[in-house]
Amino acid sequence: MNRIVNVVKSYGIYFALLTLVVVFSFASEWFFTVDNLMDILVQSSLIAIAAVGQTFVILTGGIDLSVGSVVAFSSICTGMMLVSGIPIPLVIILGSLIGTLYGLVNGVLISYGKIPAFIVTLGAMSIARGGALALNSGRPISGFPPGFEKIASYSVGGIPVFVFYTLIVYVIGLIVMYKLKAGRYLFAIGGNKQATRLAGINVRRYETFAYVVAGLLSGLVGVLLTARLNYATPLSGEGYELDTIAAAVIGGTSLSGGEGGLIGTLVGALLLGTLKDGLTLLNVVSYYQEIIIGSVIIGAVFYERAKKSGE
Amino acid sequence: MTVEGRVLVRMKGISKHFPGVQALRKVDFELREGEVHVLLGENGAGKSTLIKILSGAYRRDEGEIFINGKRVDIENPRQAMELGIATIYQEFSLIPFLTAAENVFLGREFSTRYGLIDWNRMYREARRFMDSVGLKVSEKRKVAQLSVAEKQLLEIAKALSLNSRVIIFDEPTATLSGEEVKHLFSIVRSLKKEGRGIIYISHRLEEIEEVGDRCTVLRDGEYIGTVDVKGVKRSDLIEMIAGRTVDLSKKFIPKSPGKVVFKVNGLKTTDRKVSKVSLDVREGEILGIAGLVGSGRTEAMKGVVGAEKVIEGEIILNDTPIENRHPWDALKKGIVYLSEDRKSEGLVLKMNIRHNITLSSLDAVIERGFLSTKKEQGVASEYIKNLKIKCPNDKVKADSLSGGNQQKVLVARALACKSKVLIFDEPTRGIDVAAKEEIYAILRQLAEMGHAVIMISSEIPELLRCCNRIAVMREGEVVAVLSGNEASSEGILHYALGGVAV
Amino acid sequence: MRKWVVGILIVLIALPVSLGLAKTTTIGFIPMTLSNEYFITMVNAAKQEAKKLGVKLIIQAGQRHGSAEEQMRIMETMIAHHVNAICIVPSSSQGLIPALRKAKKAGIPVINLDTRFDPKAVKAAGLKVVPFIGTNNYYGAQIAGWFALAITGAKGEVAILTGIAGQQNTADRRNGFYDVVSKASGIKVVAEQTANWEVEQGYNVTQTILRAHPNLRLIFASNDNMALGAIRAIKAVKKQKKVVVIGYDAIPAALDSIEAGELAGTIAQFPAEMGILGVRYSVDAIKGKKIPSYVQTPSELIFKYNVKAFKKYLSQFK
Repeated sequence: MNRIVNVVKSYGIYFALLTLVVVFSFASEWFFTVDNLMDILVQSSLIAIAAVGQTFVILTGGIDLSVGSVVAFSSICTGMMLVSGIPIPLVIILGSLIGTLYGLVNGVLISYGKIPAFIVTLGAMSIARGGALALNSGRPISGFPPGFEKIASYSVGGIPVFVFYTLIVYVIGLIVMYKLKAGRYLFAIGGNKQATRLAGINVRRYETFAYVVAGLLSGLVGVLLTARLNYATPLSGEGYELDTIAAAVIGGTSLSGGEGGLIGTLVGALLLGTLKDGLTLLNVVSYYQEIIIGSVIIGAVFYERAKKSGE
Repeated sequence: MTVEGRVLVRMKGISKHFPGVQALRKVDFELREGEVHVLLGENGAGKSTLIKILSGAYRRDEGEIFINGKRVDIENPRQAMELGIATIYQEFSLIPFLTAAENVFLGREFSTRYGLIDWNRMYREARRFMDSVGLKVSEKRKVAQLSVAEKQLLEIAKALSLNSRVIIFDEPTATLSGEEVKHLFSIVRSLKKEGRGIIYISHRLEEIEEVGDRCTVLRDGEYIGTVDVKGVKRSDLIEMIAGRTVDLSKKFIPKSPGKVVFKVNGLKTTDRKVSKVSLDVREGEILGIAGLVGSGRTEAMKGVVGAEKVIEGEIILNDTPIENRHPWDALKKGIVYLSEDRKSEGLVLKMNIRHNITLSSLDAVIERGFLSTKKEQGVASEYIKNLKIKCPNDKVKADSLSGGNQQKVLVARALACKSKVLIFDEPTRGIDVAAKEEIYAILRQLAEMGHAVIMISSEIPELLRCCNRIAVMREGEVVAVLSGNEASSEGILHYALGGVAV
Repeated sequence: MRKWVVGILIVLIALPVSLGLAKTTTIGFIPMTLSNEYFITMVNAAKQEAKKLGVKLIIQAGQRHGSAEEQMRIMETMIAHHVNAICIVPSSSQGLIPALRKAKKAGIPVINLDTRFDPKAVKAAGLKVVPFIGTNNYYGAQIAGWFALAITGAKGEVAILTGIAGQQNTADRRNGFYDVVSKASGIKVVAEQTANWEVEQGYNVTQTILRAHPNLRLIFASNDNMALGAIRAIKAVKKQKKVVVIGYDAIPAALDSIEAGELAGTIAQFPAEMGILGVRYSVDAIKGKKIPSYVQTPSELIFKYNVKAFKKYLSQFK
């Protein structure tokens, strides 16, 4: 019995996901079908990709509230570029670069300017959203070249291409996090900034790096979202900042920095996606969905706390 | 002197278990009126756990506690306070943005007839208690503006205002200068005279002889014994603490230093805490830096590595002038500074030992562009073995280690990046007697391997035991460099205090 | 640096003063937001009308869709600067009543557009009826319901995508549609889910609903954004032939979609009419003329047979 408790404890979040899948499978005959599971993967993928950047930032002890707005900004830019006839591959690169630029400005202001991350990214959130609205006077954009939506609708051997994008981003993310200096320094900075500085590490450079990654991935998500909807609206991406933070936190990344990881974030994003999908399948009224999702977030953090104090 | 006062506190057969550790095993402890009872033991011996149980921060698993002869269950800090037990921790429990008076009466504000706070009375009462501990600053000053010593006195004033009969001091002198320590001791003696009981935790044996009456020794969570301080030999105490004999007269001065490799001329920092620091270090030498707390020792060395802004002066490494604008500049040139504050400026506590060791030298463990786990493991295990770092494996987090082992991890980090000049700021602070000896041996070994070692310390005896030469700082300047016969306690104090007779 | 700050301060102070001193007739125009084509059309039409009538229009909107608080602030500023009349699309049918009272005190007439102030609350606050120009969302949704019955032959499974919970429009559109289709015994409403007026959520929710109900015949999306998302989801599983989507609002992208044969239809409201009538009645009210207390602008079904004509009509308000 004790052993079972221990297993549940150390693999808590996987266990929670598994439980959810089992419960929903019994509750709805449509849940545990290949198609629906693929849907969940695709629906979770954009949040999951943006959450990689968010995890990097949170690891350094920061936070990025501008994710959703940067997604919208990049999406509108993508739409405008496509309509103006810029070739698709260039649009994808430029769309991501626009996000990167936002991240760079955020990072520089936070690390070199020593302004709290919360303030800087809160400002950027407002600026990017306003920019997205202003660029096309609040109007959405549609009517893209037919090839563009292919980057979202394509599938390989029955597996939607978004699943591969997510995998690629996570593999690269994991390599950066665990196999490159930069990743190690993110943990060190979040764990103890002053000590890391005195250990001879250029703290400001690597802190900026985290925000640049977050910006790059937000930009990329903006492009992918535009392709998925074949439509760009300045209101898209709303709530992404909170969903990505939730995914990271559910996955065990500590908001105070220095602890956590990407696998947890991926599972966190899947957990949120599964929850939304399952509750929709069961036609649960939206009020209760919000209550349930909120409870899960708090529960996850509470569980982490309990696990730690038990150590 | 044997104290014959009434028994204030009796703890019997106290046990406490944490996951993985038996922190206390059937420990007995007794405190009488008017005595200073010293609690001794290495880090991790269980002293902190014992006082935390008494002050309500932890709950005991087993055993009984009697206060004034009555059996009690102390369930929380508030209850301990009501029973007249006050604790003065190293990390103070004061609120920085409130005034001294507000801190003294926090949660117990006096009110007027109309239910408003009676400020006049509060300031008056606070003044009274602050006077009684010789705290001269205004009661209306914000705590953030007080020095460490002043904050400590304020904590004592708070304890007095609570009319605490039992006052626990947790390493009270760790961050105080000589004068401040003297003042603290006079306060402790007067508290004693008033019939209060004092529990005193410290690693400094000299202090124990100065203020202690009785002494209880713990080792690995077990009760070793209680002795009267008068008449006990230092070596016996050390044997009780460490479980083996330690030779306190052993010297660790490196033999035959070479040529000068590192030089600082007329260093001055922007905050003016360092006005004129000049010194040089030879390879194979340990240079000590003595001086009072606040004399600018730490700031000068931080200036050297670029962690503080330097406005004047030059730094010369191997006859070439260099400029360090950031710690990473210094690191590249082979100069490393290890902070006195291991927890907030040294280790990344949440990170494991392996990663803490390799933090400054990741370039050396990169293979084909990626970090090599195997190489990192190799580096970590090499230093764990060479420096005898006590840990189950290199994957445990740094905060689970004892002070001495944490210090060794930092030494390992400095060594792993193949530095030439190693600057240690208070390397033995908060470390137990046995571990100190190990650190001294490591320092000597480093010097003899050809490093230039600088050691800042407030403990004159250890400087005398380890250093070839000792630079003394006062008010931001190096006022003397002593060696040979000049290097004595009296000599150092003479320069440190500014020519005042000692 | 200091010069800068002083400069900004002067501008900030001068701006409202100059507004207040303006001699021309000034109308404050407060749409719910400016991040939505529906309101942009309304505002553009109002601008044209104002130009025609030679009055000045100050347009200010809140940043967030449902922020009554921001609108309250805007309205108070306008009252303080003595605009001559105010046209407002309130984001809360009850929350802005205090601002109405202030306007009344200042003698500034208020015209209510699109979303109606709750008449009971207005009465309870001791205020006179606020003239209202707008469509009836319940009625518009009923049209969508009848269209749904016509397409499906009054049988099959139907799903509804609703807006943000708690808003009046959300309830009206859902109820209007539901009340019509639920009367047909062959129709079964199998799912009702919110997609918060958003494209991406419309896509995700539809995807899931399609899994749960493989025999679904029709989706009613309470706005076009969600409808566009739904169409993407249907396309992704190649069910265009089987599942029909009806939207609401007649935004340009939806009209394009109808022309392309994807969206079956959408309900057009006439925000331009509201903007024009709002300005016109404001001027009348300033002159002291009597104005009607309730004007219902039409709701019209747009589908493949009339989409061209409607697009042409709309193009004059770009």
